[in-house]
Amino acid sequence: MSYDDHDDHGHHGSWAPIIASLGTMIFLFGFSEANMGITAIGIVVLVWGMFTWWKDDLPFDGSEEMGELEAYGTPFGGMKIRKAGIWLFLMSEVMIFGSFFGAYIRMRSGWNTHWTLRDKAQEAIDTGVAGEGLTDIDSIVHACMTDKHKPLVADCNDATGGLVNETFWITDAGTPAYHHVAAEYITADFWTLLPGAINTFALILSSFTVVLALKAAKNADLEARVRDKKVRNYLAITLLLGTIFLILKLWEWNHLIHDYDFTISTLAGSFFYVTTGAHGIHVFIGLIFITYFIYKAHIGGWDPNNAQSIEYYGLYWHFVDLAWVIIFPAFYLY
Amino acid sequence: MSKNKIRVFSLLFVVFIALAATPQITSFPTGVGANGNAGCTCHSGGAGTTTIDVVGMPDSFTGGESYELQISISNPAIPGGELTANMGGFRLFASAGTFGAGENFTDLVQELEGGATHTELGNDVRDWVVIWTAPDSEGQIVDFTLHGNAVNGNAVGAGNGNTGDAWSTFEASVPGAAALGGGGALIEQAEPYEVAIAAISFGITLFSLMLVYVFYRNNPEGFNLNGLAAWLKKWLTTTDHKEVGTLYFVYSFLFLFIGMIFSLLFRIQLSVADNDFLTQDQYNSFFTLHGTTMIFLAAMPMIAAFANWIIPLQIGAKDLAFPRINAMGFWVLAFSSILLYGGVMSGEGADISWTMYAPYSSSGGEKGASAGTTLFVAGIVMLGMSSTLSGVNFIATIMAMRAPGVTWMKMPLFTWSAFVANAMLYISLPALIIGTVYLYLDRTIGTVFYTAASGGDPILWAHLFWFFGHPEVYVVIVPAFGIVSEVLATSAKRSIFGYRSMVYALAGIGVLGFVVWGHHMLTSGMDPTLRLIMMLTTMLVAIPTGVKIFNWLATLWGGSLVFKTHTLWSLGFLVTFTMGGISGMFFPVAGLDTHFHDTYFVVAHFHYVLVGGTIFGMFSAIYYWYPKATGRKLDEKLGLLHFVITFIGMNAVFWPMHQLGIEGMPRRYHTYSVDSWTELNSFITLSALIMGAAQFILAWNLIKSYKYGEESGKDPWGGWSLEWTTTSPPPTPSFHEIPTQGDANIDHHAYPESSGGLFSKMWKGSGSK
Ligand code: HEM
Ligand SMILES: [Cu+2]
Repeated sequence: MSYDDHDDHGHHGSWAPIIASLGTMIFLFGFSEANMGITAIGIVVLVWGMFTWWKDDLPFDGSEEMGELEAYGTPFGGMKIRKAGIWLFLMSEVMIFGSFFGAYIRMRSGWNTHWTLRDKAQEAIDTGVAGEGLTDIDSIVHACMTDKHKPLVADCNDATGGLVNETFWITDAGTPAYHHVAAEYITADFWTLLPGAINTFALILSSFTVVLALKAAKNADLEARVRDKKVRNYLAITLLLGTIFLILKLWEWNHLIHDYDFTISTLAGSFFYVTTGAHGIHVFIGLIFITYFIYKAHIGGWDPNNAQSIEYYGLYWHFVDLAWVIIFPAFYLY
Repeated sequence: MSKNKIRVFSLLFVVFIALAATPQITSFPTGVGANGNAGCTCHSGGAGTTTIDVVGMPDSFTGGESYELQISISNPAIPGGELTANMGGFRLFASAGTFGAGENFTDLVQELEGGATHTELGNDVRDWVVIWTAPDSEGQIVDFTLHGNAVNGNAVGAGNGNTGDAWSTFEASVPGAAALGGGGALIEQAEPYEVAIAAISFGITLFSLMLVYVFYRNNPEGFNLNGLAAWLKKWLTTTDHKEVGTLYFVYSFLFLFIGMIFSLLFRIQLSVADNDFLTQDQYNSFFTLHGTTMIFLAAMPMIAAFANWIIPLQIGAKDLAFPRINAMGFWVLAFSSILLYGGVMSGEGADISWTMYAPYSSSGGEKGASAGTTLFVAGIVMLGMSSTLSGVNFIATIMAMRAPGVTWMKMPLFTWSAFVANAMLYISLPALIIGTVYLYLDRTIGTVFYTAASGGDPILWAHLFWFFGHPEVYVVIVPAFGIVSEVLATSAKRSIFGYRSMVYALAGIGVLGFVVWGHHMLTSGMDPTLRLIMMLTTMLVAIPTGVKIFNWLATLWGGSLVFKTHTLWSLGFLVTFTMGGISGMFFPVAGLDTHFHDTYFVVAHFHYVLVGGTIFGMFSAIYYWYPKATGRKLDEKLGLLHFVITFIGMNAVFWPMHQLGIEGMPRRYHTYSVDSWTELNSFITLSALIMGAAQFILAWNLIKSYKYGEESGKDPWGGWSLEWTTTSPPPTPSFHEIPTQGDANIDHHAYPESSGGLFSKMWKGSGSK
């Protein structure tokens, strides 16, 4: 297990980390200060850092000297280390989306609205004002909400002897304390559901085109020029599908905000926009990378030796896809 | 070469500008455009041609009194439109007090969080009357900022006629009667901030000078700007694990001292009852920054420093798996501190404690967190990014790059502990990242995740934070476990007792750590069933921890101990960490916790485990591995002195806190009125000052020994693992040939091969696979 000595010269520094970090800092600084000028500078510096990173990366030929080492020992023995890294990174992404879902489920299960409601129910029982035949908390709560946690305002008023009247359902800020979720509006008619449905197909299809691109790039039988073209075109289709996804998403947000007044000023709105937005940002980052990949294909940078980068990228892209497949029913349908 | 120079110096220039800009910060408490609707968002040029007059601004205020402020703006160049058209606007902020519209002005002026502005109708005039009601506490200075906008009226109708207008700014500071009285009291008010900032800037300057000096000493003749640029370039762009490790170390050491300055400042405040050395606001932001700095900018980077340096050496890898990602992890961390400290430089430091509890942290204005909080939260998001990057990297390295012979069950315990810690870290971090992103968005674009008034859920924050927070406290202690295991085994000249049980205990702690977070929320009104579960799981943690402690003791028992400085620190660790663990066992009992929660007893507990555990472990590691990194030993005499003062000082500072806590002294309060607490508190403060001063011994030792320390050779302490087989300092990449690791038992001849059976396997040293 020895390495060629000349590999020791392969140790170069890189400007990319410090520039990209500085850009991130300036960006967050500007955004916190609501100063769009500084925010823009931050983005420019960040992009500069990214280009520096890619410039280091362009000559990558998939060889060991360029850092594509193979893992040894359990559990990754034989796998390329970068691939192992991607899997580990995806694990943390799973936790990221897990946190989004955990928080969302906490809201959907009515955890915090229930507390006050149950308090009132108990009070109604204790003071004997509860509706006829309602002797335990659960049946009062049941009379107050549907299974989907939508309030039955009049029924609840009766069930609690007026302790939970219609003002209970409105917060100090004038927004509903219960949660109108996005699905209520989206499933309302075919035209609002359509963009989400198209998006689902677009993403799934784009996962497939990435695989096709990988297959083409790994195909040693093809002539280099033909191969480059094929890779480029498949990647371009992926880019196109991803772009469609984002455009439709923005269109749909716009629709929800303007036609239904469903905004971030309610808890359900905050969850909806931030979760789908975070997913959208993942898509966007994927698209940035794929743009670079297309450029690399365009200049003939891919060959069967270094095509595994497309595979690693594909793992990420599949994950983003998978996350959508869970987000879609949870936020759009139910 | 000159390209380097331009790059290096322009980068440094940007960083310098960022640092210089931080005092200008007044983060918007309510965020981007949240109040833009009818309030004045000044448009067109910020020209000085607009004059603002304010009549009625008092020279000093009396608490609770109302003042009538008559505001008028004029600009001869912009006469304005008709009286029905838009003519002007204003927006007034004050750091304290409340606002209302003046008599006859209720249609024209409206209150706005933390200030006042014109209404839609009030846009049509240029004079307004505002009533400002002073805050009750007179011991402060209130800052007013007023933006006045002269508008030319072309905004009538559709479209934005925001052209051709001009605005300017008026500022005033009004001290309270108490802040003014007693002559010189005003200066005293500002003092702690100035002390802090002066100390920090002085420290950083000194530090930069020191760096330049180090460079100069390397080669006094060849000292010139090009050379300096090249040298700086090396450090700014390095991706070598040892150099990045050194960066981490230097960074964490700097922040260890900065964190210490904050703690000493608020210890002075607490030394006697009813003290007013610090105001409440200052106290709040100082302890916030102290906690955050110590955990995120001192302890964790120091662990990362050793992980960077030692893991590849111990497992026989040439570098980490992803060197560039590793460097990125460091730089994201480095820049996050500018955001974290952004507020404090402007006197508006975040005041939300390291736990950042919502809804206080998510709201702004009079009753909410101070303005610097937004930046602070952004900084925490960056910290999360940094740790994710480095966590993935360490885990990938340990999983995929172990040299022959370094099997899972023969891996040195420091590497094992770093593995467990990083696995916990990167699995729990997403909860914090998402939690802080929610918080950040609440503060900027106006989401309502934690705003109960809009149907949000503040307890969600506590769950997200502690789901991360408890694993986090193990993240900082587990590597110290590993270090102590290495140091004690080496010092006892034998292999560690019960290697396998050590590994299982580590893994057990790693898993259990994820199901105990509720013990921080026992008093938050959670479901009693959940409370019971968390109580039991928390108590379970004591079992693996106990296993480790007994194994360490047994290692000492069977060995022949050599007392080096690093040995002393590890022995000190055994004593203080055990005491911290024992005080920890009081809390999970929900009934007791109801009394102890948020008292100084908790402060005593976590300082025993964090200072007596993590920091002692880190100091042990410094003395142990310094020769590996530099080729020279640290001075043992200075080391002994450092240890004795710190060990005694640490106990003197934190032991009395147990008693104060039991007596009910609350934590996070800026002062107390119980005179009988003064005695212990002033003793604590005095001890803290002594202990703080002792840390300069270490700093001096590090600097001095770099040049004059005794040469150490490859293996000064008789260590067994692979890092001792390479030269000190190691080459780059760290091994020319990938080495093969032996067996600790055989190398140390400590244990004959024992026969099977689970029990004897558990008791054996490093097991053979
Ligand atoms: C023997 C195992 C331990 C047990 C049973 C334990 C238990 C607890 C409990 C129940 C609390 C909450 C007290 C309250 O707020 O009322 C607490 C607080 C704390 N513990 Fe531990 N602990 C243990 C070990 C550790 C270790 C090893 C560390 C870190 C190195 C640590 C760091 C902390 C910190 C920082 C806090 C305060 C959190 C805050 O700011 O509120 N603990 N501990
Ligand atoms: Cu805990």
